[in-house]
Amino acid sequence: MNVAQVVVNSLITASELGLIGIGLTLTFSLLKFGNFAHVETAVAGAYLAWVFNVGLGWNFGLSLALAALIMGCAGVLIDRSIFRVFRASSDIPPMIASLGLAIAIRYSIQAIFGPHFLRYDFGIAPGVQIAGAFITRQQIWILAIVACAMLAFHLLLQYTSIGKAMRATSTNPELAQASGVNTERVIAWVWFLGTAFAGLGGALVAWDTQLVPDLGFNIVIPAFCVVLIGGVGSIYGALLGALVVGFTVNVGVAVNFAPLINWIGGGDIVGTFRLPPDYKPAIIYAAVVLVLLLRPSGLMRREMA
Amino acid sequence: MEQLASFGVYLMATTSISFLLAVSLNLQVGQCGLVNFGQVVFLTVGAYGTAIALEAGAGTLASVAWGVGTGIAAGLLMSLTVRNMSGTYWGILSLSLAEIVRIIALNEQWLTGGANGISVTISVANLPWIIFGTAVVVVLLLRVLAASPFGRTIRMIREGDRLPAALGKNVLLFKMETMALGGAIGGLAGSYYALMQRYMSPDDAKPIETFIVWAMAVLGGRGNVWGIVLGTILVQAFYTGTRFLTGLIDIEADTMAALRLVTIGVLIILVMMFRPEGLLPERRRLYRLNKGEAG
Repeated sequence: MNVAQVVVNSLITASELGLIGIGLTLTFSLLKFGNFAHVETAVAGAYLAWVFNVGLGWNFGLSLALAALIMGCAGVLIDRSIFRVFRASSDIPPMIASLGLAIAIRYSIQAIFGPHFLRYDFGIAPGVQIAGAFITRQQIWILAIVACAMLAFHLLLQYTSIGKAMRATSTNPELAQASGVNTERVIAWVWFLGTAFAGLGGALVAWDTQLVPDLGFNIVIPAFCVVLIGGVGSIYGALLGALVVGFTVNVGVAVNFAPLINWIGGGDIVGTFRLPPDYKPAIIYAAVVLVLLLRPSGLMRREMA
Repeated sequence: MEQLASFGVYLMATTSISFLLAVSLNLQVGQCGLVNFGQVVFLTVGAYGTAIALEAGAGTLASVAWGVGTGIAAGLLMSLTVRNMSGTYWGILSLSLAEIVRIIALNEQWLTGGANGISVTISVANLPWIIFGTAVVVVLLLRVLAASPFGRTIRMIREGDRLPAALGKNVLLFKMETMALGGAIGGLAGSYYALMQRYMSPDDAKPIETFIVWAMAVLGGRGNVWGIVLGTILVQAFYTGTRFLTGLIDIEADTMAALRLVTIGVLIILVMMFRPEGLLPERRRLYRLNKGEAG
């Protein structure tokens, strides 16, 4: 097992999922429902970036930024037109509506762009070797972009009034409202930032792999896993959750389980036994089940948003 | 004419299978409040169970029974994870469980034939009518069940665990029984599906199948069996009707299939926004105190 490679792969998975998880965890805690359409807005962002980058031939960085910005506005629009109706209802109606929205977004994309995969127009540069790990140029960019985005978000949360209002509302909505925080305004900001980050994250996932309409299909459960591990509503928890998920997936398929199996069951596997790579998604699904059964409130203690 | 008649019979059978899946979901969600986003798992295990049993040389009836049995087992196993989780959490969990089952079906070639799927070689005489008859019987049974003490108890559980627990009801046991029954009906639907299509593959186990069943239940009205009948027929008619549309207007079949699902998605949103109780809402019986008795 190439440790450096596993670390690199894990960090990249984590950074992509972290960006997507932030919006999910915030809407989950503020509006009390799991938004299944969140990852589909990530995919929509990825396609929007493709339209700017390949369709219109614009610079890739500009395309990413524009796509994120427009998705942010789309997020506010989605909330105003659909989810605002459900503010007073239980968690089930908005969740079912979000499922409907997820289906509508995914298959609209498929109807417009077709089922085949697309690529961004970005010159292919040779990858580099760092400490025995192979990393492509776009992966280095991804890590850098995500690091910048996270830092910006951190500064926003800590040092701006809207950031403080967001943290307050996420911790205790009633108290925040009683203290003069305009909850609806905070919710609008949360949708804007969360969906913009999702759009950016989706574009980065597509850049790293490929752009297909059912991209969201493979990240919806991992994104929820990130949120659940970190504790619903905890932004820094979501980042930690993303790291846990990233490492779990990549370590899970890299580890040789033969000694463990031999030790537990007295089996006599000679050589190596690895999980088949096709089971990579199943590791996350199993992790979700375990987390929900054992620590439904998340692995971290929830302190602040 | 004969072709049209046989198409009609086929349509009746597939609609009945969808209906069985939808009433099974309705029993869990509409009656007991268990938000199962992994409903397709019952179709999966029922269909694979029957197909594998047939391949192993079991008789038709025994294979169907095996499909139903695996459905019950799947329901019981799922019910053990419910505990007192709220809707969203168990929704995510049940979706994950169904995906795990699909990935296993996709990868364990020796058992399921992997991505190529598994074929059923036998054909059952009058199968469409048997399926339709089953659907009718299940409706009648569920109506009896809904009016029974069991039905009243699970509807109480739907509104929250505390009251039934305070009345001494074993909430977990009722949830387990509901999931087992839902699994039995869903497993039977899967079993019929395998016999009818004479084929089962992991493609039919994708989450989107769950959401189509959800659309049927949501559209018609959760909690009302006639609502489910209406919802199933509407969604199925829409699916079949738009299939003919591809012949009339110049549109690619792939695009048409995608647009169909977009419509289903939009429909789910609109129903939840403007008529969350569905087209045929559940009739809630009111218990009023008579004048003079109050006090």
